[in-house]
Amino acid sequence: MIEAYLFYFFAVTTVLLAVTVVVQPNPIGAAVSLVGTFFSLAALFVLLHAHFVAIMQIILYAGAIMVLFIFVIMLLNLEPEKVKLRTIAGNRLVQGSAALYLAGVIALAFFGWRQFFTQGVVANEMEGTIEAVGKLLLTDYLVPFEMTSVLLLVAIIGAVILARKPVE
Amino acid sequence: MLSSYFPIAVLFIFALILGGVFVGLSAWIGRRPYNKVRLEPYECGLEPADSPRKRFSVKFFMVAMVFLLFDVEVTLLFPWATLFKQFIASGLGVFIFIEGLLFIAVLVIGWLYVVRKGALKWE
Amino acid sequence: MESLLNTDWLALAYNELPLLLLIVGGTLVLLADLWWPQHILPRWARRKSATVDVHVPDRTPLLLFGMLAALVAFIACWRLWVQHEMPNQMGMLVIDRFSLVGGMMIIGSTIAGLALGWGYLFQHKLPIGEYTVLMLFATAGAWCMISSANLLLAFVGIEILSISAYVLAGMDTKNRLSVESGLKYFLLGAVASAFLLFGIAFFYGATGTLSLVGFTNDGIMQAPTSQFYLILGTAFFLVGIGFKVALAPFHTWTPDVYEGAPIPVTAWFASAVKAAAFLLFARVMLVVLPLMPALGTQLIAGLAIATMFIGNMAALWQDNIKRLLAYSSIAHAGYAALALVTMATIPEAGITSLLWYLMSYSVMTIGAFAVVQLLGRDGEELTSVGALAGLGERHPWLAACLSIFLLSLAGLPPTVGFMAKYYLLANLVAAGHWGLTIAAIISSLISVGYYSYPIVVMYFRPVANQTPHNSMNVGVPIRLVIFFAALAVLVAGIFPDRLMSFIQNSVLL
Repeated sequence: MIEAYLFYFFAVTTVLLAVTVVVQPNPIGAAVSLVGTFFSLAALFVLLHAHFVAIMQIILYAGAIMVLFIFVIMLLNLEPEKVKLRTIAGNRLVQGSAALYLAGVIALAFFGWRQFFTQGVVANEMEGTIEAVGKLLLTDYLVPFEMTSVLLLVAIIGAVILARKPVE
Repeated sequence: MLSSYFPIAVLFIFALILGGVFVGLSAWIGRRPYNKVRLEPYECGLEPADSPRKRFSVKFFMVAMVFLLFDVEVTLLFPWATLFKQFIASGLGVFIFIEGLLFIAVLVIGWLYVVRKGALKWE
Repeated sequence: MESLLNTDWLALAYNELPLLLLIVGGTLVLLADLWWPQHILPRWARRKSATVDVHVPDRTPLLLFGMLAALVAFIACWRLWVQHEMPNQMGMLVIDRFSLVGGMMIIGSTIAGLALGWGYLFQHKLPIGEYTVLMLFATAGAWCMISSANLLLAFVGIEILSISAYVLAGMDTKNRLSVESGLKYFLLGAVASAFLLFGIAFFYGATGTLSLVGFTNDGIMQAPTSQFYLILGTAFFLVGIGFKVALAPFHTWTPDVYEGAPIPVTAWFASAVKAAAFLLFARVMLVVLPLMPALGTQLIAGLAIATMFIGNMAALWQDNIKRLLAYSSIAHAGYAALALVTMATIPEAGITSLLWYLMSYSVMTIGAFAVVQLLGRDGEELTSVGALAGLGERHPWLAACLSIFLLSLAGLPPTVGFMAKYYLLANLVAAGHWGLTIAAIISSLISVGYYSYPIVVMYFRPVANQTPHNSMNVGVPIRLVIFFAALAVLVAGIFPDRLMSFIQNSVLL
């Protein structure tokens, strides 16, 4: 029972903070709100027993990616006064379809499709723990795990090549 | 179950209380003859040399980018560290050691690349 | 976990030798690049004359080493092809002749891509070491895509390939077009990867497994939910992979990226990257199509028709030869997708024609780009078709080679392009797709219009003003690439039997 209350608490926090990110005129303020959103999301993952995802959410998103965001904001040097509250860019067709999509998702959540989407899903508490995920990652998914390091190496090389000064 | 998260909840509550207490204490103990004039820049002082809002150098971006990539590596090594003893117990110690070693070795090469190419050099 | 104790790691390493060779080779090149001497002259000589040490040492030997590594990987593929009659699955990796032929094709394209960088990279002051390393790692990623039985590994492979491709496209940071192409490719490619991942997630939802082998499990597939998820997954997958191979509604990045990227990179994009994405596409469709034959076939057929016509029609208006070849590459993606359509009814023949088509397209497009690269003057790439005027007199052999490649791309008789298209259309007819066959023929006829345009310019347009002396970008490797590509186009076009039976032997499902 208490899980349900916690879920609603964190769900509402996530949505509120996400709205704050959008309407906040100060970019740094928006970034801080985004950190809050990530933390609430991590709490939601914990409630789903997905510990590994929750940890990734905090270490990677709330940690490293937010540092990157803030550096980019500093780099662009946006002044809060110049940033105005904007609505969805584009014509009415885009706005209309965005609204329709949101309405559709909410309708899906409320009406009969709930049965359809949750059918046959059995929550397994032990599935998302670090031990369980790690055991899969290090045994069955051994090759992708090792290839990920190659992927990261390629990304490092790419970042260095593209960001450095052109050779004269 | 949920009770196993109790320590984390305690930690968060302590953090909140601590933060609240410090803010409250400084508001309570500190003097507060705030008025508008006091918050304004000193009238006959020096002009500010430049805007407090400065552009950051793109070098910070480079650092952040490299930090992000190595952070991903650390996150992937998290389960490896958690499971290390369990693997040794089931006789797979050499296997998991070599597995982790290979993963780290490739990234050490990435680190060497970053250092040798002078990507983190400030000049 | 106990199964790991019984795994024969040496056998696994032996079967994955091409992958290991590519990664180890790339790593060694990277280390060699890091400790390459910074100056030509020793320190005492540098102090005397400060003017000399502006010359940086030529790192071109790294390219040679990269080519060597790729060549060894190619030979390893060949050895494995000879040894493996039947598919052999080890964990997540499948070693079968289909993936080995695909591997040889992609590694061959990489060797050609590295050879094209010879001279060009030094002239344009591009980082040679990183170029080699990224190409080798990207080829390793492509290997993971084509020889994986698991969608997760395939996705990691796609990402390795794509990230290397973004960087290679934007590598020439002095050139605005190159930077633009890298950025465009990266932003759109990241969105496409997200679609692909979403599709894979829905596949997982439908089957409960990421393994492609698990798709055939009938018990899971009967549930209506699974059917629904499968259709959703296929739709998302088509969007993602459609971007990677440049199918019609998702093709818009292609001309800009191909135009902006350095030419050797463009040639490699059109051959290796496209082939890798198509082979993964084929591997997934091989298990998905039997589950939804009618709908899947219609979807791919629709994309293929749109791609052929949009590519060929847009190419008619191009005056920039790189853009022309880019649109041609879009159109050829449409033809290759037709081979996937036939896979629903005649899978073996469909895959044979796909491999045959991709192989011939890789060879002729590399050749065409190589000629264009060779014609570039110092520091400037040749762009407009009009600049080809008078080439028939100035460089008759080069003009002849370019004509051969263009005729082959158009699919005219004595070339491999004709044989590939002929076999493809014959299969379409055998599978009963008459409408598609006629559409393909009409769009091929349209394409003759723009492929003949550069040929007409080369031979028949008078040289208006005396162009300054063409100091050609001389290099032996690029000439070898052109020579071998032209030879392959002609020989495989006139005597296709050996190659055909080689490919047919590779497709044992």
